[in-house]
Amino acid sequence: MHALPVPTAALQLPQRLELRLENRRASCEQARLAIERFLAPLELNAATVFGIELVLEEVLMNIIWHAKAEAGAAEIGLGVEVHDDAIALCFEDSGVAFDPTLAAEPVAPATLAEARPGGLGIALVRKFARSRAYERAGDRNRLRVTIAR
Amino acid sequence: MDIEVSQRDNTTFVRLSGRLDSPGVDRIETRFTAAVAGPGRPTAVDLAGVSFLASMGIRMLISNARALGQKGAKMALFGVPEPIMTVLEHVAIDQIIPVLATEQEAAEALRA
Repeated sequence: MHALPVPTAALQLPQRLELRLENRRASCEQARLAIERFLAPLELNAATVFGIELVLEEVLMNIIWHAKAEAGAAEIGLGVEVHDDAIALCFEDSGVAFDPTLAAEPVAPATLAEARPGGLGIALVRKFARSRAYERAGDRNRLRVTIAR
Repeated sequence: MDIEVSQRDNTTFVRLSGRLDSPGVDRIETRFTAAVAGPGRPTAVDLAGVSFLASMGIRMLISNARALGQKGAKMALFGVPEPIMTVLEHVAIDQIIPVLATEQEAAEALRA
C-alpha cells in the first residue's frame, strides 16, 4: 500500500506589517530586523532578501538624508505587503517633495576622479526593484517599491 | 562589520566581514580610512566575508580609493561574492577600481 503525503495547511501569515520609524539613522537597522522577523516564515530566497534589504536601506537613508527631522519630518511610515509574486515596501514621509522615480540615471564614471557619491542609491533601487510608484499626497511623499520573489 | 588590517611587501591588506550598510560603515569607516588613506600604500581589500553592500559602503570604498590615488597608490578589491559583485557592476565601480578573484591576483595588479 502506498501512502500519499497529506497536504499541509497553507502557511498563515499576516499580509501586511506597519512600522512607524523615527527619522534617524538607527531606524534603518530596526526596520531591517523587524522586516526580517515578519518575512522569515516565507523562507524567501537569498536574492529576494538581498533586494528587499537594499531597497530598504537606500530609500530610508535617502529619506533620512533629505527629510529633515528638525523641519518637522520626525517620523517615517513603512508598510510591508506580502503578495504571491512580490514583496512591496511602502514608504511615507512628510519631508520636502521629492520624486525619486524622476531622478536621472547617473552616468557611469570612466575614472575614479569622475566618480560621484550622489545618485548611487536611486540607481541601485532601480536595478533591484520590479516597480516603483510615487505620489505626493498633501504634504506627504509616498513611494511604493516592489521586489520580485 | 569587522575589519582586519595587515601589511606585507609595502602593501596594505584589509579584510572586511559583515554588512557594509549604513550601520556597518559607521562602525568601521574611521578605522578603514586610517588603515587605507592614511598610510597611502597600495591596498588590497578582501570582500569575501561581506554579506551586504549598499551605497554607503560604495562611497567609503570610492573615497578611500580616490585618496590613495592622490598619493600615487591604488586600491584593488578581491574575493567578491556574487550579490556584492552585482551591486558593484551596476554602478560601474568595477570599471574604476580593479576587482580580482584572489589576494595574489590583487597584489599583482597593485604592483603592475
